[in-house]
Amino acid sequence: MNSPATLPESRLTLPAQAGAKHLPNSVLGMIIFIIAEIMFFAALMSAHTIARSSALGGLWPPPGQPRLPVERTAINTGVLLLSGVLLWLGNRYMSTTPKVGRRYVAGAIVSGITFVSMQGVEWVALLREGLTQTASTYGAFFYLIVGAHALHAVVAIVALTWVYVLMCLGRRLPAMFAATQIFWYFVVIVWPVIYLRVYL
Amino acid sequence: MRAMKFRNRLLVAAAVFPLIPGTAWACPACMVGDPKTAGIYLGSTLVMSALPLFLVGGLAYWLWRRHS
Repeated sequence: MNSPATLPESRLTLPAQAGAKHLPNSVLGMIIFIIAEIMFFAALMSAHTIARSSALGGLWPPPGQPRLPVERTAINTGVLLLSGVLLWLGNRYMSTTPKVGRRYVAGAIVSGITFVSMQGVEWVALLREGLTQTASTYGAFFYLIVGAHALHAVVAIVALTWVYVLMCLGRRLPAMFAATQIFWYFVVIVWPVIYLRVYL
Repeated sequence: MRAMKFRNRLLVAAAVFPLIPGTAWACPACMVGDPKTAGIYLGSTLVMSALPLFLVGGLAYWLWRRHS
């Protein structure tokens, strides 16, 4: 039987007392935060949908505005989804073979950094083509929604890296790792919705 | 008896009250020219109204299931 000292590192449920299902405060706090974040992105998507539907002449993107790189971003979406899968695998292996688990977590961090970097490259190209935040409603919504997501991705990567480094140093941080995972899964899951609504 | 009468009047008034307003001229869903856009306004309103209830309700249900 597992005692609190030998329990897997990355379970969402922690053994506060024998038989009790204790939900860490950090995990509950993160879930409530994610609910607020879902509302935030839903509001942005709702505003974007209305602006898109009421565009003059039904033309979206507006004439003269560059088209978004749909294909390249589809590949980038795959990279982000891969990152989510790697983190999930890392969580699974963390309980049996922490070394392998940490490798998967490192893979998830690298994939996340790749995603954000590719987004940065895409933004530079779009700015050069004339798509700025003040150029049109199209540009404003694009940078607002995708930028808000990128900001979340950066914060999640920093948090995940911090937890990863502490775990490599031998610290046991099951609650913090679980909360960080939840945040990263949110970043991963919300992106395909943004991609489908903004890019297509 | 008197309280019951008052309650019945209140119920009738409450039932009739929603029929009073006409088109709300400031409401984008009522006043937008394109029916498709009006549908999108309505859909967005429904989603944005239902989403918090769904999310908070889902969390409450999950916590209740965990601890029951």
